Parts: sequence; C-alpha cells; structure tokens
Amino acid sequence: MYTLFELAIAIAFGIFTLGSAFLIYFSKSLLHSSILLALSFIGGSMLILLESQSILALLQLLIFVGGLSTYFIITISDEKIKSTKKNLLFFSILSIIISASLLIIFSLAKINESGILENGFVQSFISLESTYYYFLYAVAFAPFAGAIGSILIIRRFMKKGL
Amino acid sequence: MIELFYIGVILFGIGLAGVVSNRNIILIIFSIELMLLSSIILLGYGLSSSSNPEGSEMIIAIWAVAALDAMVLVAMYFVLSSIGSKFDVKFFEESKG
Repeated sequence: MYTLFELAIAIAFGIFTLGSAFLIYFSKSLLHSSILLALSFIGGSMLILLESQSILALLQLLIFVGGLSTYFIITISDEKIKSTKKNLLFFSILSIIISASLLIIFSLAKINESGILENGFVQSFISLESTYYYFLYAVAFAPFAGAIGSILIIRRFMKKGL
Repeated sequence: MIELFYIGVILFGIGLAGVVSNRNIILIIFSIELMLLSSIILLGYGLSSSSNPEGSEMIIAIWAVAALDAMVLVAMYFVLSSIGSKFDVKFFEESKG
C-alpha cells in the first residue's frame, strides 16, 4: 500500500502535468506553449520517478528536455515579441525547475545505488538484449533515416523550390 | 499506482485531441510529443506493476520517434519559413501529387 504522502505527491504532479499539457493549446504564443510542454515533460518524469523507475525518469528528462531545445529555437525565431525580459524570466524559472528535478532524481537514484540493477528498466535490458537485438538496431536506424530525409528535403527545396 | 495509469491515459487523450483539432504544424508536433510522453508513463507503469519486463525496449523506440519529430519539424520549419508561409497544415494541399 502507498502512504497518503505518496498519494498526495502523485496527485499533485498529475495535476501539474495535465494542467500544463492542457494549457499548451490556450497560450497566446508558441514560445509559451513550448515552455508549458517542457513543464509537462518534467511532471511526467517525476511521475515515472514515483513509479520507482529512477533511471528511466532521468533518461526521460535528459532526452526530452534536451530535444525541447530544438523547439525553443524554432519558437523563439518565430516569435515577434519585443520585450525579452518576460521571456528571460520564463526561461530562468524553467531552468531552475529542471535543475531542481534533476537534483531530486539524482538524490533518489543515489539512495538505491546498491540495488541499481534491481531497477526494472536496466534489468529488462540485461535480460532481453539478445532477444531484441535486431529490433534495437532497427530503432537506431530510424532517426538516422529521418535525419537523411530531412537533409534531402532541405537540399531539394534549395535546388528547385517546392 | 493506479492513478498514474489514469494520468497517462488522460495525457494521451489531450495529445490526440490536440492532433485532431489544431491546424498549426508546431502545435501538432507538440501534441505528438505529449502522446509519446504518455506512452512512456504507461510503459513505466507497466514495468513497475508487473515482474515481466517484456516490452520495455519500446521506450527506446519512443525516444527515437521523439528525436525524429524534432528533425522533421526543423526541416519543415526551414522550408515553410523561407517561403513565408504560415505553419498551417492547409499548405500541404498544394504539395499533392
């Protein structure tokens, strides 16, 4: 059974994640939408941490928030807002939240350091590595093909136009 | 925790509604990212609730698709912004064969 404290934290992070995901569609600028998306990713990784999958939560936060930097660049270049102080405030709050959540995940992963192989995510890869060997190769090929495709689209457009 | 299952399902619903109802390409890609996040939450829930770790390698596939999304968005942004077009999906009507 879970304690009342854990339940309260789970509900709070659930409301945080769902609320920020819902507000993406109601914010005025795309930059604010991308910041809200980052907040929902942080909430999602904290929810995964509550499922006692600390390594999965850490990887999720690093990969998705790292990938979000691409969205930030795109939305900032699309932005026509003149005041940058407000955006600076948003980004500083976001960076503080990301670093705080990383610290929380790291600290909780350190407590379980002796039993880190008992973590379900890592354990599954040790046991299933041979079974899904070719599947993992195919997965690695997918972003490679996507990158080549994106480069080809841009090259084709630069040569001929659409 | 059974609540996390419901949170993942609701998040997937929000993402699906966003894909269906929006016309802005960037918001559609954001909605797809939300759906991917919800599927990772659900897979994490499955990992923690059952002793069988089968299916967890799908998480790597989801991360690959998320990276793919960002790449495709960058290519589309480059093409659409240099035309001066708005990020409306109606633009793709012109690219029909």
